[in-house]
Amino acid sequence: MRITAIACAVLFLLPYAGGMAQPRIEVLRWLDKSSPLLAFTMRAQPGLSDFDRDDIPDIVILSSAGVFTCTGVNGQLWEFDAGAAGLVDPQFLGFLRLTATSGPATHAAFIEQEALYLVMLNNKHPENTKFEFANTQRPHALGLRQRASGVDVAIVAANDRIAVIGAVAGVRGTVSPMKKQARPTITAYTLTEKFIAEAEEGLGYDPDLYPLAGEMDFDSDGIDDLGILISDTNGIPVGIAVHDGNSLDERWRWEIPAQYLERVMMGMHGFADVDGDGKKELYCGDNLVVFQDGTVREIRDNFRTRHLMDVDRDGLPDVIGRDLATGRLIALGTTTATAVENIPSAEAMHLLPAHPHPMISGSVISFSLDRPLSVRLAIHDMHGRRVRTLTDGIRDAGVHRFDFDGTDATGVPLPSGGYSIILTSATAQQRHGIIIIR
Amino acid sequence: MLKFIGSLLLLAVLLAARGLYGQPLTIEKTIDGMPQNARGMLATSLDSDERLDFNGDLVPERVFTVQDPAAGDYLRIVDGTDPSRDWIVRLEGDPDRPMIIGVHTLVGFYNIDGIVTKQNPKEMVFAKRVPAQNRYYSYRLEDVLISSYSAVGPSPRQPLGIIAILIGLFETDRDGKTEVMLVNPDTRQTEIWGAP
Repeated sequence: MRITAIACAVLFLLPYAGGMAQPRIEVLRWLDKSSPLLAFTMRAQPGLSDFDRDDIPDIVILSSAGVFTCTGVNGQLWEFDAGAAGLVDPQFLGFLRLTATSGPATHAAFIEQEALYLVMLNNKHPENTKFEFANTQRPHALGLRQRASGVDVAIVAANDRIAVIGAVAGVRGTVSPMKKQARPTITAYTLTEKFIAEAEEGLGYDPDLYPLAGEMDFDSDGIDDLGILISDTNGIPVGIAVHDGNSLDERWRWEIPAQYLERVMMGMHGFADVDGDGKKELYCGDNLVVFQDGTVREIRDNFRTRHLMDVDRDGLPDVIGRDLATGRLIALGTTTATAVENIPSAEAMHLLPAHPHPMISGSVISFSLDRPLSVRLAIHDMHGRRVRTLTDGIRDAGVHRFDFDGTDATGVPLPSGGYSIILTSATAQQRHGIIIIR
Repeated sequence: MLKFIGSLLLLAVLLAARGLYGQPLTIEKTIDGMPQNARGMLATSLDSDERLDFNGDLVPERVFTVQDPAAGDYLRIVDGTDPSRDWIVRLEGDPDRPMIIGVHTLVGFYNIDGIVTKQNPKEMVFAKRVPAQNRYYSYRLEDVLISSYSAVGPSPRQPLGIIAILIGLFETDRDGKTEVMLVNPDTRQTEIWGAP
């Protein structure tokens, strides 16, 4: 265990070693879409604020002295004097991991005037890589975290182009294949009422604070994909292109029918397989659903979509919106019977009990996957708090074993008591209990 | 006389209750400067399901805002495990903020006081969402309120400042209680608040 701890510490500190070479960073790809607008991307992008990659966003504070300080749950993580590094008026964008390590981020991204700066996170000798975008207002960067390969890229929209910037050696991530679409095609879009709220009841929380897991994940590989708005030469939107969040290859393109344009532009709610046919639909605008074959339908007469969430926890997301005829909040989804027939098999993942159990000094926690799947294995305390994440990301088919030493994310031993082991995928969750005895 | 008896009853309730009652949050740490990466982001270690789990059983509840023009809007929390059970939450208003629920949004349920039981579920964090002048889902959460649940009447609340901006909710000192990270724009400082 001690050797493991030392190895982890070395891996964590490795990116900060003074001798670490700057990876060669280039514009890997230009995406010409005639519009710098993004139809959607990851919303709050907590990954870009996660310096130490403990799955908890960290806070970057700019002091009155012009020093950027990154603070996390473990205290101060990083300090950077932008002025000393030659940046005059930088706008912080996020942290990126541009080399394939299991450690924390390797670079910080700043926008200054017409340039993107990628600052290597080496306190002794910070090196800047500068990318200029002439004749533009401040380019806005929308980073994308490539979790499958462990390498991030910076996506910068400037003028009429979108640049994908990253380390040359790190661009070759795993390309997610499109899923086979052998499932039955829905011919009638009939959704069942899951619940109808009372007339005076509204949504009690802000849906933007509760995004549906994977709602921007078009191909269900656990990585949010990138939606780019395509405009014509007059700047009028004409379509949406979806690029895979991992390979950045275009996976789906939809030309917006003119009669729906105004309604589509009212907003994107995301992709979800509400009807349970195995293929996600795009929910957008006031009341529209777009199928992958390009078919557009209204979700329901006199309905206004609010957001997507699995309200009955049957493994399939539901559409929550307001019935304009009655004024009532309503949730629509497919029936359980249909859902069971069509959702990806829950048997795709199997969480095994920890052993030895009860745990005194350590236990092994295992799960198996029937196919590659994006999963998270975590330990929760009796209050529901996630105290330790053992793995999070795409894992290959097969058995995966993890040594759990009874410590939390910071390495502090957890107190005696009952805990939950929870294995979560985009559509399912399995759990076992574990007792720690000190 | 009735007022006096009512006051005694209220005092008894306050003394009998646990957690946040009579236990205001205090500043645990102050950091010079303001966050640069916080707009549209809420730093928290809890998943969506965990944030909507009120009673600590890891199952998210259904939460509704109920319009009540006469007595003020209130929150109805329907048990995610047993839909026949619900909790009604009313926040006392004041002249400056007469309609707290309805104007504010529920940020989530957090264990602020370190105790989560059926009798003392998690605390509720409310804030007002203000669109920011930026693009792409950018907003900020200000006018932060924290309240515990009370079955006998309006829930006491812990106002953390009308202009305070909510940045994060996570445990920073391993005391089993969630701390609240706020920005004070007046002092241009970042503050971490928590229950002692």
